[in-house]
Amino acid sequence: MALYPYFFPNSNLVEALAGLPVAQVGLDLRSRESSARAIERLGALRQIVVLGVVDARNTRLETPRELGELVEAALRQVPADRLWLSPTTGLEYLPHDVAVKKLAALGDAASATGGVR
Amino acid sequence: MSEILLTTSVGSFGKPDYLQKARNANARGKLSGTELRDVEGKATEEWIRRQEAIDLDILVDGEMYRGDMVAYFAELIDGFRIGGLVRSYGNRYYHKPVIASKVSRPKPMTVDWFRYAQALTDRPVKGMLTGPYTLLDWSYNEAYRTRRDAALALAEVVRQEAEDLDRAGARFIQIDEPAIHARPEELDIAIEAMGLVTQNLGAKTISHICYGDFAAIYPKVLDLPVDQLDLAMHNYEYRWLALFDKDPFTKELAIGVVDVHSHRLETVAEAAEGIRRGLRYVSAERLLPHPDCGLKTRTVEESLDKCRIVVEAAKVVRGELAAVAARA
Repeated sequence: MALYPYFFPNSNLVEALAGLPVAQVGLDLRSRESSARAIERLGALRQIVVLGVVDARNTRLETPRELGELVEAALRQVPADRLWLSPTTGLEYLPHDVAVKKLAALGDAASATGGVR
Repeated sequence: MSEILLTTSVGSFGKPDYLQKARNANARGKLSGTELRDVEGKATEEWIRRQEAIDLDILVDGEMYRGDMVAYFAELIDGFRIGGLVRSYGNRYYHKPVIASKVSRPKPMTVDWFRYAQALTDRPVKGMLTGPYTLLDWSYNEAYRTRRDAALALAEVVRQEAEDLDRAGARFIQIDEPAIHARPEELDIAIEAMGLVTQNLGAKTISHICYGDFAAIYPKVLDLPVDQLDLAMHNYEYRWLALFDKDPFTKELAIGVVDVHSHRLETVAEAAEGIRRGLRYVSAERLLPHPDCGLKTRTVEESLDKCRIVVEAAKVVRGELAAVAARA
């Protein structure tokens, strides 16, 4: 079972999520300006961490550098075999062409950090 | 114009078939912009006459020239581009605007329409704008580092427009913020942005808020720097009024007493009961009955019927208040 609490500020939720009997926890690091703070506390999680690093609710494309920095920061808290990358939520909130570019950016970020096997 | 329970509406009305056809023809390049504006002007005049005929007190131009309340402005503000299709719900898609670069207002956006509508009637016509927070929240932001930065930049654009409406003689300026409860933790941003818009206005200021968790922003929303809040109430069975028991409502209240999302026409008695509920919290001088929201999703006939119920209900309750005063 996977739990993805979309949309809402989640930086205060990490410890609560850590205690839940689920296999995966998804976190939206983008759609709230405060959400990125959650990254500093990912070490509390024992589940697979699915990190929403590209904003599925805004057309601005994240740069390889900012995605790389986020992933590096996450890897300091969570081992690579428990870290997945994803958009912050479903891609229906974006025009089709932008949604495709967001997925490409995600794949590039994973490859760049050596996370794709 | 009555002095108590002034009746009004939120802004948009159903577009007549001939206007829908003209808009479609314009979109296909078969009708010029000038020709379309003539048709919009005709439809606007018809709505002014209809509002007068049913005896609404504070009128609107009916927004015959708008598609929706954000895209209309996005098409006129420099810095926006109209984005690709995005699903709103079901199989409905729309072109969501993108704030692509720093925003600015090349010229007034609504002032000519306000002047045109106001010149048609002796009754006051409201100037109608979309607020900076809603312009932000219903667009993508690629240009500003933070949402606050974007909201404040949009506030400067809306301020210029509102001050032009003020100078053009608008006695009421409505700055709609239906997105204000989308992210309750950003309410301070919406309040700060609205403060920039209304700081220099002589007109009475109004903000329409609808369809969200009003409890999540109350009572803090009373800090929104406007004179009047304009709220959808009937659709929520007036549940928000209970919030005023704990934290008294401090502004004028425009109260929705008919549901704009239902084809069913309320009775005068139902709408009058809604007004009486509002009177428990706000005096008749500060309570303005109206439909819950804009009526653009209804037909011309439905729009008219809903407004007529509001007006008749206000007359019933005014009569009751006069009778009580006479006995006192």
